[in-house]
Amino acid sequence: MRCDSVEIDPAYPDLTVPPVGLPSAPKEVELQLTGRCNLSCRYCYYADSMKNVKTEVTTERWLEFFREMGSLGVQRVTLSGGEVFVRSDFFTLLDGIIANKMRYKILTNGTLVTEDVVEALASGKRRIRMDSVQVSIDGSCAEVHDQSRPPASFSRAVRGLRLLKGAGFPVTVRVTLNHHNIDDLDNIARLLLEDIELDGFSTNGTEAMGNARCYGEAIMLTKSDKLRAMKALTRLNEEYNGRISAAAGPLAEARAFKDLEERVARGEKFKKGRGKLSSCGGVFNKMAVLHDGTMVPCNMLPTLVMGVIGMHPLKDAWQKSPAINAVRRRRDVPLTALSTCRDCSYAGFCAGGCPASVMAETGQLLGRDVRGCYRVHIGEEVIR
Amino acid sequence: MTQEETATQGRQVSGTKGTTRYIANPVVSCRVEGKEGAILFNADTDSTTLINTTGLFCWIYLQNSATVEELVAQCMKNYAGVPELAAVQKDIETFILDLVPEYIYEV
Repeated sequence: MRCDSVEIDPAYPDLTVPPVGLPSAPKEVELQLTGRCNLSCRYCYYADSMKNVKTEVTTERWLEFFREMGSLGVQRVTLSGGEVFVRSDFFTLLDGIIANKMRYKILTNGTLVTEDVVEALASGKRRIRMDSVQVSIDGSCAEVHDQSRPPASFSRAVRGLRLLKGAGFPVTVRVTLNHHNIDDLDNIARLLLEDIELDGFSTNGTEAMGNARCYGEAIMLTKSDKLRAMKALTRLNEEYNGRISAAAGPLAEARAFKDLEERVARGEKFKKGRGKLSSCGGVFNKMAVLHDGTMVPCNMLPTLVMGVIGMHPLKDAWQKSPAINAVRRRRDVPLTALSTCRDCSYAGFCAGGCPASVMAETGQLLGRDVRGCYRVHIGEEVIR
Repeated sequence: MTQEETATQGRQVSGTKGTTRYIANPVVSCRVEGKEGAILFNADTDSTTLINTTGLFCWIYLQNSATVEELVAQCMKNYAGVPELAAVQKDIETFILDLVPEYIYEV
């Protein structure tokens, strides 16, 4: 792996000063409610945090934090883990979110979703405040799904998914593409869109974080895997009228590369908002809290500590923390300042990719994400 | 409760009356954005609206119920160099009518 060397203006910005136009508080906060999980998936990006930090925020401390979020006008939260349904106080926490004028989304592996859970989710304001509940499905059958998850996960996850769908919840599915499921995509699409009749599902790719770093190419996509996935998902998305979405991973990259190629063919030299490390924009609207109460810019950037809930005011952490402002300031760095991108003729179309992936790969924040690099994709640059 | 039921639980008004009291919808949060005013968010209906600094001043008063007359009086007292009473009254009435029933209720 080639790390970037970066030329930085000696007048380095004061990272305790928020960028102009930043909202006074995050609009959305992702809460890792627990570090416990009933599964241990082979690509879990959060596995290191779960192994390293055993302490969890207590019920009372979460509720106090929800009051703080509500008073600042935070509008929505994403509840994740670990597996959220292992917390016995889950519905107490959910009601705390509702009482503080917020909406919520749940990310779950689906295996602990029972009739009782569905009934509890339907009561009071829990149903109308729910933006979505997302279940992870990684294959069309146990043979594929359980390659990346513990045995018997598939049947329980699909059962949970069907229960939620049957009860009329806004249920979605995330398929994380890995080495074992890319040849199963037609079947996965058929299961989710035809058999279970979901409106759509989203995809991403296995990140080189957490457990995936241990398993390497036994779980992560090889270059050949990725190309096959890009092709298959593009075809399937046409067949299913755009019901497959992606903000990252092979399908998102396939779209981005197609857009780039069309622009180059038209003789364009750049795209508005590109040419700098402007990805990711998430840090301007949202942030995350780990299961031990550590505030971080993103749950995939667990080492960038902004503060701790109950000890540091959320508003101060959001506005003045150098940890998150450093991620925000990436967008002031032109790609041409990176040694790896200086001579790239496609730099004007690029936003640098996911900062968390860069951090995981290189240990630094300023750099480009090689996985989303067009030059690497077309073989102009070879990464060892 | 359905979204439709929630959205209409405050009574729709066709015009404001001097004696009618109004109060902030308790499911609405307020994000203060400095000189730009604030953003109101109805968590039940997932809708937002922007209010200016004068609107924010009224919103704070509406945490306890208030009539249009009371809001007008508070605005006249708080802001120096405000336009004449009739203009302020019209602005406040428009503000109330814009926000009922999603963000403000008639009591």
